[in-house]
Amino acid sequence: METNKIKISEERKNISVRNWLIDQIINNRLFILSLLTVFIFVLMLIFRRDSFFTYQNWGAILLNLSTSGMLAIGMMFLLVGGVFDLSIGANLALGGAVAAYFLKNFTNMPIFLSAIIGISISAIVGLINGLVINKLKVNALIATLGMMSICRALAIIITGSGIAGLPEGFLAFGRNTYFRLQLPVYYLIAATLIGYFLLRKTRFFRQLYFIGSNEKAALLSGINVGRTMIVMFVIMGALAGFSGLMIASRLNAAVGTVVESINLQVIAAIVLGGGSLSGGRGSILGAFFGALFMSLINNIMVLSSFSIYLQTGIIGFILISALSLDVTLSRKYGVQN
Amino acid sequence: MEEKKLMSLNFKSRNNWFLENLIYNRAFSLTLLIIFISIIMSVFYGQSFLSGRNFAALLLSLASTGFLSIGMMLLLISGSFDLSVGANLALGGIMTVYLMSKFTAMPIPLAMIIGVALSTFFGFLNGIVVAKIKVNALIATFAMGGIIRAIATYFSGAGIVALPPEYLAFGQTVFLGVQMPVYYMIALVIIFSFLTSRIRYFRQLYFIGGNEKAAELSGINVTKVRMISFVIMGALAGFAGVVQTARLNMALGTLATGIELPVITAVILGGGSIAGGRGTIAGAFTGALFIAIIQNAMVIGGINVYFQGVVIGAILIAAVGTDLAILRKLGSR
Repeated sequence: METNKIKISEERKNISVRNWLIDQIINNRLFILSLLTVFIFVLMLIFRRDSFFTYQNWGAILLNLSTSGMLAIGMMFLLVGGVFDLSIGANLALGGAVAAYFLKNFTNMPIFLSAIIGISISAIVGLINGLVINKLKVNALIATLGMMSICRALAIIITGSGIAGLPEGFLAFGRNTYFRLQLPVYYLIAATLIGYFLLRKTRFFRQLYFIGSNEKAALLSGINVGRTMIVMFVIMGALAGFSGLMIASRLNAAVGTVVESINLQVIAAIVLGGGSLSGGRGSILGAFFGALFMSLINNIMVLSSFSIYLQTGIIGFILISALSLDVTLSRKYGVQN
Repeated sequence: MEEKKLMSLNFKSRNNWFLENLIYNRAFSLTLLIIFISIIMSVFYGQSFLSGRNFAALLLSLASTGFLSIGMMLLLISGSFDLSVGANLALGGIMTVYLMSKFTAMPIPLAMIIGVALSTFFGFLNGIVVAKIKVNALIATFAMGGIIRAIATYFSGAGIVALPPEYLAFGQTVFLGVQMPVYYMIALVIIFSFLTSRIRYFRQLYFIGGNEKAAELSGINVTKVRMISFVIMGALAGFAGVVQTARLNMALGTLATGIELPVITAVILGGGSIAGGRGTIAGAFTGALFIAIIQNAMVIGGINVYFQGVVIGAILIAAVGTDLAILRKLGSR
């Protein structure tokens, strides 16, 4: 069965609108996302002009984005390499919980050290994930599913009913404002730029594309698949821990049940941003704009007072639609790199 | 067959029934473990463990995980997954209860049928997305679970209580000292064990799980077989939801949240493999029983509720890890 490949360069004049659109959806995901984002802006201009375009609302959007964006960047590395991590939300909560515990109970310890301990614990969780998946060869989804319950349970045990009243210095970490933008936004921009540079220009990270497309071939061509993937899981863990610290600093408290529904949002973000579930495709910019899109959707739902269950349901619906569209189109029309 | 040949090479005797079954028959080794744990629990926590109330509690948790384990084993054999079973269970139970409370004139069996039918429908939707459109099973069912949970919460509102006594009888009647759900489960286990060994459809599940391409080339309609397994899973989830709400005498939107973890652990312990092609219904049931006993033991032992999650998660990772290690050792010969 021959797949119907679309050769834009040769048949430029003969491309129908439908074929062009399909090609853009498959291969130029950022463009489609931008179109959809503009579409949302127009909708908001019409229906919610007063509530959407306020400084406060944009602050809320950017804050949600700074968490989901950071997680999406880490997850995009993993997705390009062909695996998944369902434990990010729980890992985030655990990192924040550990840091808060040290901040509250060891007040003579420098704040910086407590923060580092929190991030390290999350990074260690990532390390365990990486080892279990790459050395023990456990299926990534099962392993991270199990790890998710373990981390969530540990986070809840450590925080009990919640650890509040964190030191001033720590609060500055997430709450300081420079040029009317809060710090977490700057962290996200930095992470995006660093991630973009790493994935585009460094050989170590570019190897992820090979690993994701064909792990056996990558292994045979000399790439140390195990070590690369373990490093990616550690990075994911560290990013999750960092986000957990940010959230704890913003809330001035560490709660064990924080961000329970962020998994679905992050997965939807990277899928919309061009990541393929079978690995080997995706980009950091895609992750960023996908996360931006999902944060906008999230904001709209909150503005419309949707219950948390309805929000999760809608995100699930978006994800399934995006995946179905992606899989069907890719199978029918072939994939160009 | 190959395994039995290797066995005889290893143990110098073809009649070593006990050891053979211990390693290869997961249901057998699990049953031994269950008996062992029961003995320990009876010795150390005699009063709490051996009481009628404790057995009732044990069987209650077993009722839902047991039903779901049967369906999940079918899915796992064919190489797929379903993370939406908890939400589907809740939807079936909630819809039944909602109909009964909203339309008091409706006969109860009709409400039950509609509830289960709704769950079956969502199983069907799962089947379409995973088997027909061929989206990754885990992500698709994970997302579908969110959708189903949203619908279930919408209908349950703040929670529905005070259900009609005839409905409660369905789940709470005691017959010969044992509660009804146990009989339902035993019946299901027997039925499905029989079906899996005799009916052609169920044997096809093993082929698909073993090598999907080969199964397709040998004429099996992989898409249809997979879709039917998702439909069965949906129906079982709905039925479990009806039983659960009848037993608890209430329907909350958060019913069976997070039940996927114990169910998957139970199925993997019972012999199922992520790669597909392995596992038995009896194994699934004993796996569920094992998890139920562990959970019961943890509750009696006074272990923190959240720490129980850690234990189950650890058991899952350990079970999958050792499963793969054993598979690789067998395969390398």
